[in-house]
Amino acid sequence: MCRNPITTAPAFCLLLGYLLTSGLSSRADEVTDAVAAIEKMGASVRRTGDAWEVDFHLRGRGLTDKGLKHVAALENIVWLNLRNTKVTNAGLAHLKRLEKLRWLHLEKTEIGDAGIEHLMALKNLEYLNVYATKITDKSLDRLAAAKNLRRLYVWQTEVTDAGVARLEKALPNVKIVRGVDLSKLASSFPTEAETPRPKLSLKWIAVNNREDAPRRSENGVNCTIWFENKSKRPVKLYWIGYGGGELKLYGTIAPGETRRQNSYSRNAWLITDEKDQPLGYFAVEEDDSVAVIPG
Amino acid sequence: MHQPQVSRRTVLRTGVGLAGLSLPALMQLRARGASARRAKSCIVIYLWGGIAHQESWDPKPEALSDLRGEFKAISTATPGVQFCEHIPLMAQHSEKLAVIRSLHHTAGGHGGALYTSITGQPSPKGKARDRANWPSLTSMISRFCDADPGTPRAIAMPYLNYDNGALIQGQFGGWLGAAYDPIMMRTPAGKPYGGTSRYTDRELDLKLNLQRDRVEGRRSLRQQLERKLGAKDDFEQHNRFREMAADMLLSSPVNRAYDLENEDPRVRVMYGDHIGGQSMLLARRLTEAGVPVVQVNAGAGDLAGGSGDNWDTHRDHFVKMKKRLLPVFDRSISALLTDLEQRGSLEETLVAVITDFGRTPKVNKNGGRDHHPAVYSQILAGGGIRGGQVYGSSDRDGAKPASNACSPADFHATVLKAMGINPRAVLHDKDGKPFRICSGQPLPLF
Repeated sequence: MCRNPITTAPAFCLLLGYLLTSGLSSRADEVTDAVAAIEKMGASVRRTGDAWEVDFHLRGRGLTDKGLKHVAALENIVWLNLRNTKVTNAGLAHLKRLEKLRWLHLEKTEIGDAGIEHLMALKNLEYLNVYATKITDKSLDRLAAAKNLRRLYVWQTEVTDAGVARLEKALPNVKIVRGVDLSKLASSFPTEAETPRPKLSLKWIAVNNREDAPRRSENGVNCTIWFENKSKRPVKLYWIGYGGGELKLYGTIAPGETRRQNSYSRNAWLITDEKDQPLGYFAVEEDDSVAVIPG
Repeated sequence: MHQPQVSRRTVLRTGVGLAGLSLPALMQLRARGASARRAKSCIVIYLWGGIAHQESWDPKPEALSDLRGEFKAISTATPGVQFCEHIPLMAQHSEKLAVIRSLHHTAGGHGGALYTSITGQPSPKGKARDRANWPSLTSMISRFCDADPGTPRAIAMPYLNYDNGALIQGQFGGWLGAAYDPIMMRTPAGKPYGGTSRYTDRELDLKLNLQRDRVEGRRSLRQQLERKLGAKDDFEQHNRFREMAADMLLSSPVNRAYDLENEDPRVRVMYGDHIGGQSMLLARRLTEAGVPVVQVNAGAGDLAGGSGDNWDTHRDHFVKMKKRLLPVFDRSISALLTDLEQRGSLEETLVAVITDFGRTPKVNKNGGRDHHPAVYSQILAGGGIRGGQVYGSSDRDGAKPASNACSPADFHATVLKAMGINPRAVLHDKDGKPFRICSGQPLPLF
């Protein structure tokens, strides 16, 4: 059928094409196998162009050094997240094959300085996250050779000011993130207990003062009222409602006691004795205030 | 007539469920989005009520004296950029932020403004949960993101946004379908905002009851899951089982993330003992656990006449801003930025702060500032956005854009681009009608 010489060239091309594609497809098979092996370990694998992104930090946290060997079979990984996995220093030796790796998460693993040593072959590394690991200044000194490094995360490690300063000098383009010192942090914020007693005092409107007595609450701004019972008997605290001025009991305040009550400005409060006999009112003003119940 | 019966569990297991998105379509979308992708997750912070641009990221010290307000401008970590004096912590983080000072739109009411700000589209008349609504930014992002089985694609907390009892349109998945409605979660800790209304409280109670179910061995939950779900797939019913879905997360890393007791107490202190701060913390933990997009509604859930701890400061603007709103917000968002950065997550996590609109240059007779959509500010951080920059400007009095005027849709396009999603992508609703997902142009902030 194909004796015509004109047709032999296309036939040859077809054959060549076949050989090429079969070669490609066997490589593709290798990649497919590697991806399947990685996914089997729980990782999520994404392809971006020729490159791969591999995340173990969600479902693949059981990953061990042994598993890491299979990961390194997928050579074009640019992004690898091993956060919180079981990999150790020894396992990182497998990563040497990943020459294209630019972004590596190793935070919250058991790795330390010996592991960083294995990363020195990764010339394209731009991002290295080793927070909450055992690395020390030794690693920082080694990383001075990682010329493409741009970001380094070392929060909650044993690195020191001096080590960080040395690396910053060696690699001025690296941003080294050390994070906050949690042991010093808590004391820098005021706590609830330290809230000072408000300066503003609300006027006591005795029950016989018919003119000033508030009839209902109006809507306003959220604030805190310190009800201080300076009388010699327990009193009851009622909130006077918005519409019809219905009463809602908020509690009883013992003699000498202070109750901090959430309120709104322009709200109205009624104080009674234990038998619900009205004693007086407070009309909340602009802001946090003290409301003294007189003796 | 025969009505197909689907058990809740089946629907949950199949994930995409009733919303009708075919797997090939999903794969196609992912492929499209993959190439430029930087950010892996997104935290949307919505400032309900409309934060004053003057009293946040665009102070106006040169404005006419009666417009200038009571607060001073302070320097930030970025030379030449000033913020309001009452966000001093954020000022220290300016090198992480892109501040957009020239946003504007035309919706003067909260409902329309929230819709425009969160969907990037003009607001139609309609119901809050109408499926014809445009998807919220949170829902739209989640549409293009992957999540592990049992992990929701989108979560919103600590409560939905209401205005005087009315649930606001635009906070849901709209025509993307119920599978893309963010799952509502109540933040399990923190002092609540003042002024949460009875509507919001009811919602919180519901969530608290769900919490109680967990403690009580989840028997009732299982019963509810096994109960057959009728073919009448009305929204409320669907929504209810989505709430159940939230409870199903017990088996996933998300459950561990949800329990704030697992967090270092010192880190919790850093965010502040307020539901605003604890929500930001929870957002960090949830994105870490693999939730692609989390929305924090920062402010009381119901405007209720502008009385609560929300940004709708028609009265006593300066008192409210100084004493209640800015301190909680400043501390919590600064903690979030600090924490994301020290964990090495900020580059993979986009933080987008969105609000209704700005507030009027003129201070009204009640010491408040009113609605001002003509110009306002929003910010972006992380996720490949270049920090330490200001895009656009407002005029001397903060009344109009003075340069690089841009729209909520442009802001959305920027967010989508940062997430590796092509803003020009076209999606189809369940009837096959095509929609271009965003009408804006990405801003040059990368």
